[in-house]
Amino acid sequence: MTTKTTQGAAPGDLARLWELGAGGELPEERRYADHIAAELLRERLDSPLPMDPAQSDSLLVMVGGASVGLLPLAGRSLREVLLDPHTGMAAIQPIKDYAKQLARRHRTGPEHEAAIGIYYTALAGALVYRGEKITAHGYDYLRDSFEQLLSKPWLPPEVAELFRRARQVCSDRAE
Amino acid sequence: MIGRDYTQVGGPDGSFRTTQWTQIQRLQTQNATHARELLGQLLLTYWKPVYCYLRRRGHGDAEAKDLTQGFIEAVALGRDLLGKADPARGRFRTYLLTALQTYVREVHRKAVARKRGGGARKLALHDLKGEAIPIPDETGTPEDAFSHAWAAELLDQTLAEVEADCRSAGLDVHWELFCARVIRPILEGGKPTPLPELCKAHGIDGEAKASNMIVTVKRRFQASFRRRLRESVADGEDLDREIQEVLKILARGRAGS
Repeated sequence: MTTKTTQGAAPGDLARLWELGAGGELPEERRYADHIAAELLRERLDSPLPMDPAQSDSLLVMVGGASVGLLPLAGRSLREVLLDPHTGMAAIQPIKDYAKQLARRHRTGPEHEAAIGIYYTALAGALVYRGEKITAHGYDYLRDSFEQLLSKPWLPPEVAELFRRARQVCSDRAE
Repeated sequence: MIGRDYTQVGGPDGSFRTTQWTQIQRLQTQNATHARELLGQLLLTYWKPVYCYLRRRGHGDAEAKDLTQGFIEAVALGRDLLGKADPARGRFRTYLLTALQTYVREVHRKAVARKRGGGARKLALHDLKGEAIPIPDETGTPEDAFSHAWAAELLDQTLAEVEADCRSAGLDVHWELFCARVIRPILEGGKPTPLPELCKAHGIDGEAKASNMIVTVKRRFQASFRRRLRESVADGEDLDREIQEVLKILARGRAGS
């Protein structure tokens, strides 16, 4: 290992590393938040299914048995699955739930933004391709959420297009 | 979650670690030879905290190592630890500490601190003799010393794993940036190497890109850290409690320094 051992380190130094491991944020994340969020979302969307626990840490803990819905899609990227009109709800639901848990764990910062991006992409896909609302949020709320997300610099263009369509669906149904 | 086998569904390498409680339960059903081998792997995680506890109790280096060996052999290999291990008792760290405290009391009572038991039952902890474990100059309790060393061991193993993962994934520069900006400043003191300097040294076109590389490793660090920590608790709820409890112990040490 190229780093020194932490054995014998002062408690304060151990605490700093412990806090980082537990979910702490680095100064770089605040300074370059949009860039990091964009890269993280791109990386997650490009990842093949099932999602790599080494990256997400808690896929199986969060999704549990529902992850079996993702197995038939093994090898396809998350982006491909979410933007595919033929993807079934058995796959969309665990992805949505996974993203929701991630967003709750990381309340701010690029991790939160990327999780929100995936969450709303799942919602948008269900609305646009299946005509289904898979959240307790009302159509007004969803319309406003999509509107807000469309202004985010980290949103990939193909996801932005889906969000525009989903925003329209919500506007139509909110009336 | 206890005993559930996640290996049916998984990531690219198809393997997931079971909790340390699950490992203990499996050991209870193994034959003695296989149990020793498996237990050796498990206790490798904990011999340093045991040693640091003993040092903080006032034992010298050699005596603490003898007692560490004695504890692991007499208690663990004698299956006393295995027989009484129960996930319902909570975190493995605290359970092990209690077993150690009991062992030390018994040793002092029997005045056999230097005996290790029969040769046929020796566990080859080759690391013990030659390894120097730095003991920070602090005034905490032996229990705090145990927890500090346990926290440090978990961090060491996490960092080693993340470094190995980064290097095998071709993320060597990512790892170097993370060390320069995060790890070395914490462990060695001093300010983080400025981003423009790192970008120039590694041919990275922009601080935003360098920052993203650092945060990429941070995420891996956090994922590995939480996964390792989860192995030592009985269930998911215990995980956050364990994090907070260790932070409180470390804060006591920080306040006393």
